[in-house]
Amino acid sequence: MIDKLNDEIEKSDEESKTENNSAKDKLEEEFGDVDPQLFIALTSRWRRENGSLAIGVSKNQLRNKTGLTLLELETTLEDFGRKVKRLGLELISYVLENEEWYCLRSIYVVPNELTLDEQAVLGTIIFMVERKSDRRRREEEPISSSDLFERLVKRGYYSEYTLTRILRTLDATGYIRRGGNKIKYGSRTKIEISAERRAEIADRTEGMLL
Amino acid sequence: MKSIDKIEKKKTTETIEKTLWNVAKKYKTFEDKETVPQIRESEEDRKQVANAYLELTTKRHRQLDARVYGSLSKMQKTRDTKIALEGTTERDRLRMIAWEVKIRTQAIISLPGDSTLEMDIFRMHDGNSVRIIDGEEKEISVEDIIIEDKGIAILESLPLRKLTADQKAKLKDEFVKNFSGKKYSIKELEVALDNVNADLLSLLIREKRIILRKIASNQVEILNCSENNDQDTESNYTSQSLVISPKRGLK
Repeated sequence: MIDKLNDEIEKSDEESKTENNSAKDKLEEEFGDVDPQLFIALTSRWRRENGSLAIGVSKNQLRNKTGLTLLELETTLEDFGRKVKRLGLELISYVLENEEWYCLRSIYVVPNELTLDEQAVLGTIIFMVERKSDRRRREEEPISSSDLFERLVKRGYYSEYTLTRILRTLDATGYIRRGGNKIKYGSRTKIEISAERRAEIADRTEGMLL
Repeated sequence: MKSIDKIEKKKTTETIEKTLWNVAKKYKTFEDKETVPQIRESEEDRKQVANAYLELTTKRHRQLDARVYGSLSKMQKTRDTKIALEGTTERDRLRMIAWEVKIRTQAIISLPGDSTLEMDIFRMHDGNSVRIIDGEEKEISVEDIIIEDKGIAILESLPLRKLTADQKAKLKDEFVKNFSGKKYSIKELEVALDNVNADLLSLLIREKRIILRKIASNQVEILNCSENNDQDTESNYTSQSLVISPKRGLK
């Protein structure tokens, strides 16, 4: 009985392997070496029509261009994900405006592209959002930008011009989203700083801006 | 005897509830105002509620007690932070906040710049709705603003207009009227001329309506050909070449 089961498992493993291989063969036949191209696609940056930044490549783009089925695409990506893990990277997916995107993220804490001031403002925003939000419901409440200006401009940390410029950069790099007088997390903050770490930041920075 | 005990116990419970409420309310106000009471004041409040646990009977009392202790420890933490931050500059505090963010970021990997591989095999650049950002967008946008401002300034200061033949003739006549028959040192001439008049001077000399005559090493005279009807004027005198830089009208 057990032998029979093992046989079946082996058989299905082989089937998935051949499926995987056939998908890869198909891609290689059509596009050449796939891994370098996938790497470039997954590390590219896109500016979308509404001004938001997307990093990586969307599932729709990949499917349209490769012509693979959903299962074939997922196996190809999983295979690729295993390879990049050895370099300290992980393949992750995120949802941006109802579309699924794939990108590569570092497994470790590594330097980000923000300057000291941009990180300080992001830290303050995280503190304010976390303090306002109900942790039990895991929903982030947006904060008003006038509150942020009150905290950072009126207390003399930044000039109005500098803070506006920093907020524009944070918006352009996808760390925050702004609409009217409201500021909320951009997809990048959620990807790069997990919910637990955001709570930690809020906890540690409390009372730092006297 | 028993009933007296009961009444007394009820009284103490009521008092302890009142004390707990007062302290809880007091610290809520502090929290809202983001202020911290003196250590002595906090210590007195702590002593007031220290024995409350002996009298706690209901769940509500216990919750109230926990809340008061929560507030007291939070105040202590805030006070400690304030003491620790004393003497730090604004820049130091910003650096500390930035550090807290920095040590928790698992960055997304993206590669700026032109790629060495032909990525268009996937043909993902054909849509007009998306474009790839090369380098730092921040720098590009700053430059755009500067260029835009300059463009406006140039347009305002140099309006282009075309002159009609009548207007040209009028300008020439005015020039002849104002300048002919006068003697100037080169410096005086530079001060007296603006760009338009310098052009007119060249034009009129080319048309042989006036003659620019050098009378001394640093002095010139402008002669009107039509006024000096001497037949000799044209043959006797020839214009001198002169390089001048008009000063009039410059800011």
